[in-house]
Amino acid sequence: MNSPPQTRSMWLPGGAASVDAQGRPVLVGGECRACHTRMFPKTTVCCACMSEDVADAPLPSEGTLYSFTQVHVGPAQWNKPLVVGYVDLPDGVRLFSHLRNSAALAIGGPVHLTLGQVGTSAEGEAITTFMFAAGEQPQ
Amino acid sequence: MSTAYVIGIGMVPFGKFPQRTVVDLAWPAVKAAITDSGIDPRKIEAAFCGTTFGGMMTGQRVLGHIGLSGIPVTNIENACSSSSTALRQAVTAVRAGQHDVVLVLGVEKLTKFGGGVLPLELEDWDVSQGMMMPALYAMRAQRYMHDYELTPEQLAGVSVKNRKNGALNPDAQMREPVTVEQVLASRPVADPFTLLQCCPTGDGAAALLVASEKVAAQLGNRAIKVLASDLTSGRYTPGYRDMTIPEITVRGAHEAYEEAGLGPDEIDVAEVHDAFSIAELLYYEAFGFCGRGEAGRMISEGETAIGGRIPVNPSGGLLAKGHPIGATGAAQAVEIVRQLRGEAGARQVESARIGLSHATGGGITGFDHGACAIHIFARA
Ligand SMILES: [Zn+2]
Repeated sequence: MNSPPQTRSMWLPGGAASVDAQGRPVLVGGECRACHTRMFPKTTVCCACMSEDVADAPLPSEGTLYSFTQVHVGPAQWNKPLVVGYVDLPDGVRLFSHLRNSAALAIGGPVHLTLGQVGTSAEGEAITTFMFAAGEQPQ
Repeated sequence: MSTAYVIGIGMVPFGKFPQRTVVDLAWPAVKAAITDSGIDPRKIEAAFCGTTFGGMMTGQRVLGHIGLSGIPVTNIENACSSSSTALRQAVTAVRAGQHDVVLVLGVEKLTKFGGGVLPLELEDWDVSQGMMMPALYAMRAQRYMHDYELTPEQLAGVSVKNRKNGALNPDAQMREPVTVEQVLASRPVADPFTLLQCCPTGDGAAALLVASEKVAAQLGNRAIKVLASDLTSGRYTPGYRDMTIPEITVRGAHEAYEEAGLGPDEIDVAEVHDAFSIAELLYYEAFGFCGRGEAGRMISEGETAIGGRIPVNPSGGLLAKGHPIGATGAAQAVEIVRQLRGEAGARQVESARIGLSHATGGGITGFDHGACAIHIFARA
């Protein structure tokens, strides 16, 4: 797997996101081999049972938007307004994510994984990370 | 276990005081609490100081400044629950018979950050992805408005009520009443919140003296009894959870009611953690002041206004009194003690006998909140 283009490693620690051969983003969470708890991002120790036997677990790239908000304030590095929300994946993982701003975003609606620039660092570098966008994954 | 009492209270008006040091913000609150109690400061056996950004040895710096040194001092960081946690530690020490008189102090100086949203821990995953407190509460509000009947006007009504109360409180940071129209027309912060639905940034300090029954008895009937002193932390829930139910507060409320041997119907006045407008509404339900989905109706019908069925945040709450985070829990307790003593002036809740204070906070990945401290007090 390759690194996403222009991605600052501080935003995606531990290989939590990457892109596949077709250039599509992939999120990699963890699954505890002892108790099967799934998590994102993957951690070195299981949050449920303390086992250190945690395997990579590629996550589904489609989910349901639990809630979201458009934010007009906050740290200088983010583009404003920024849209963020909680995405529920079908495997039980909920993750907090940037969202692509769109009138089609709706609570309970489908969202799919993509990449996008969400800000600019103090050094002038583009901050690109995974994000979710309204609708199902384009085929 | 023996009973603990609050025998002295003090606070400084909350506001923006960038020119004052943390020490200069805090010592007048401590001195006021000692003066209020009438006890000899040499009787103070220990101190617990709550602060989040006050820096190393905040308690020793403040107390050393006014000649209260050489006693055990414990500094406590628990985000917005820092000084309510300090109060809980003081109550625990007195109930256990470890000390007869314990000082509780809460202090914060947020103007040192120069404004903007509260800085969160950058090591935290969600924070690294753009989480901030207004966004967290806004997502709760959005989901609540999706699941239940709640209009933007009802949400704004929380700010209108609390600013009206704050106008009656000389210690409040925001002393101008506002209308629903003004609230909704103020600049957007995190949808659905406008600026007037977010607590202001500010500085402040508050202090209390907690004492044993033996000491309280010598002071006549001004002492306020502590019926419950509950601290809990969030349950780490990395998967799905219902953001319209503040689980940490629901659990804490249950524990506190059980400890006090009473229920929501017996609470005459409450100070709850209204960091943002939606929060107060979620806490009406969490404390059982109304049923699920009824909070909007409750604010509309004035049930939580001063003079209503169960007045909430007569001090103005965090939205109007201000929220210098480490000072908040202690200041809520100060307000409840004032209300129970009948010393709350223009914002007095009539014949208040039992009061509750609630401070919760800490935005970290996987938790509803990091910490929650709830106290229930009664007129002796
Ligand atoms: Zn496990």
